Amino acid sequence: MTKLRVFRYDPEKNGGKSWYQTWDLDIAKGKTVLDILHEVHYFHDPTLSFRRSCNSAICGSCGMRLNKQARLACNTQALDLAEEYGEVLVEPLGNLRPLKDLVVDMGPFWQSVLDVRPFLIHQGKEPEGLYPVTKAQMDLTRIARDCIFCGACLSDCTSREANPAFLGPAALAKAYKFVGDPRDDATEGRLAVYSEPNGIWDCDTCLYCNEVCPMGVKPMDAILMMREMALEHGLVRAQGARHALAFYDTVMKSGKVNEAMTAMKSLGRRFVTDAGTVGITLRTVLKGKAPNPFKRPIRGIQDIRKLQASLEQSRRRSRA
Amino acid sequence: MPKYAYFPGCVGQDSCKELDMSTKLIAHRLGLELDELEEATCCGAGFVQDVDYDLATVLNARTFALAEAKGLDVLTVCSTCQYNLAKANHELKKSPERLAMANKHLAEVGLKYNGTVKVKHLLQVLVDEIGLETLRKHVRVDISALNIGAFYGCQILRPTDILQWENSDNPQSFERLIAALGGKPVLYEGRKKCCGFPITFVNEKASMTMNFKNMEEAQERGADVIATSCPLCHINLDMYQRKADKVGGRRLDLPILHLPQLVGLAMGISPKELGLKRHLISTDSVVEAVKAKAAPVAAS
Repeated sequence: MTKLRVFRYDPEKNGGKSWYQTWDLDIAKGKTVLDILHEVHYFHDPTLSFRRSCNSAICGSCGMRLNKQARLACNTQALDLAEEYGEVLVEPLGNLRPLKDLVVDMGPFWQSVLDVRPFLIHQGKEPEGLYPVTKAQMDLTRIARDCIFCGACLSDCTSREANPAFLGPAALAKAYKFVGDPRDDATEGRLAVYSEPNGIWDCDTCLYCNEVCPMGVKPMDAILMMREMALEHGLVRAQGARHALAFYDTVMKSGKVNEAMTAMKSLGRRFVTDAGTVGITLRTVLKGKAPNPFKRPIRGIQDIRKLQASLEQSRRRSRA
Repeated sequence: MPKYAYFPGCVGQDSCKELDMSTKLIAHRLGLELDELEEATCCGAGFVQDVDYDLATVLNARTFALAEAKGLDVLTVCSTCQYNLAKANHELKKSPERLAMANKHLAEVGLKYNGTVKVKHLLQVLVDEIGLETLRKHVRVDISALNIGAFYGCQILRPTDILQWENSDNPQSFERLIAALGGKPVLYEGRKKCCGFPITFVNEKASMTMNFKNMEEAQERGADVIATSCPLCHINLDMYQRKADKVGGRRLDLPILHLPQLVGLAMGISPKELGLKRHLISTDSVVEAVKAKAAPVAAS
């Protein structure tokens, strides 16, 4: 027998408080979690609510948290989970409000997607006939194209968990699809908007989105590509951009990051006006833990400069 | 005797010097030979990559070429170094075009990378290579009074396709190591999550929220000390703990150890040598708890 534990919630029951319900089931090899949920729904409790449709991992309806990680119920083997964790634990997607049992309010998810303007913005004259796009151009957006909007990435996004205003991985992956699309004429405007607070610089690079996506989309990689593109477009005033540039500058100077200089350059006036930061600085000094602002360059620093120059030269040649 | 090209990372030799100190001390006792890569640059930590991805790849290829010339694999002591180096290495090994791009530039400084180096984190080497049995034999002090929450740091766990090590949603190496040292591992969900460090300067409130939430959960599950495999996590969890306390509305006073400090403590290395006094959150409670059980374990 395998233990199935399911998150239950009904605003009209149990005083509006959620609870967990357990069934001991004889689960056959090959059954997916969705198969098991259907079985419970048909034979044990018809009130159990969950979303599902295609049963082929393409509609994105059955995203849920299985043993604490967002996955699709239809392509996850129940016995694999039971073997790893001793039970099958089914909960709704994270970072979204449960409406009933495993059904969550996807509203905020879709709002974030809409916030990135997920459509081609074309300016000027439409081309006659087809719009030619090369395979190489489209390959650049490959990492963002296969999204099925299941919400798994948003569910497990640690930045969204701490800050519900963060656009989140699915929306930003979608954004990248248009930034990288040669038919879109709003690249710079998009990058400027995405560089604002709660956009690309608010990703904490925890890699959950890349890890849990059932389709192999790499939202974090897409976010980082947009950071580099934003800087290339001169969008350097966002706090995240300032921080990355400060970090980069110190690495180019000594070969290693200069923690003290990075903090000073990145925070600017806040480094001396924010009481909490000043407190930390003083305490690190007292403990002998303060980073050294006068860092000696690593042995071979000339090589770093040569490598940087060599790369720049290649770029100039390829541009010419 | 296992030998590695040691990549100490930037923070490990600056604000978190105690990480480098304790790594060298335990390595010496375990017979793990460290040949330090003094010429290596920063791994980029994601930030150099934000500014110039190709340059970060070339700089990391240079590090691999230096290790390859020594005939050694690379050992890191930081989850962020681990990911950034492993990712660059993965790309260089997988894509002949990327390797050729890197080597074209490396030729300018008389180096070449052939794609033969592996990158491993200290945790991985302790558990898989030195082995828990050997570690157990080096334990000299009873640390059974310590309830220890492991904090992995995102980039040692994810993405599994590049790191190819732990089961990212149910990691166990750190807990197995804690148990082998004689401590009591405390399980909590936050051990796999983000400490907040990468966005501390970008969105401090979000960063401190993550920081507090994960540490509060660890404490509620019974942890009285945290051990982390990443110095950047250490910065946020230790140096910024008071700031996080403000967001959470109460003081946690949760001591945060680096992985090799915990190992060293169980081996009987003095807290002073391990740099425990350098932390901003006092580690006295840890030292006291260990001292209270002072009867040393008989060497086996």
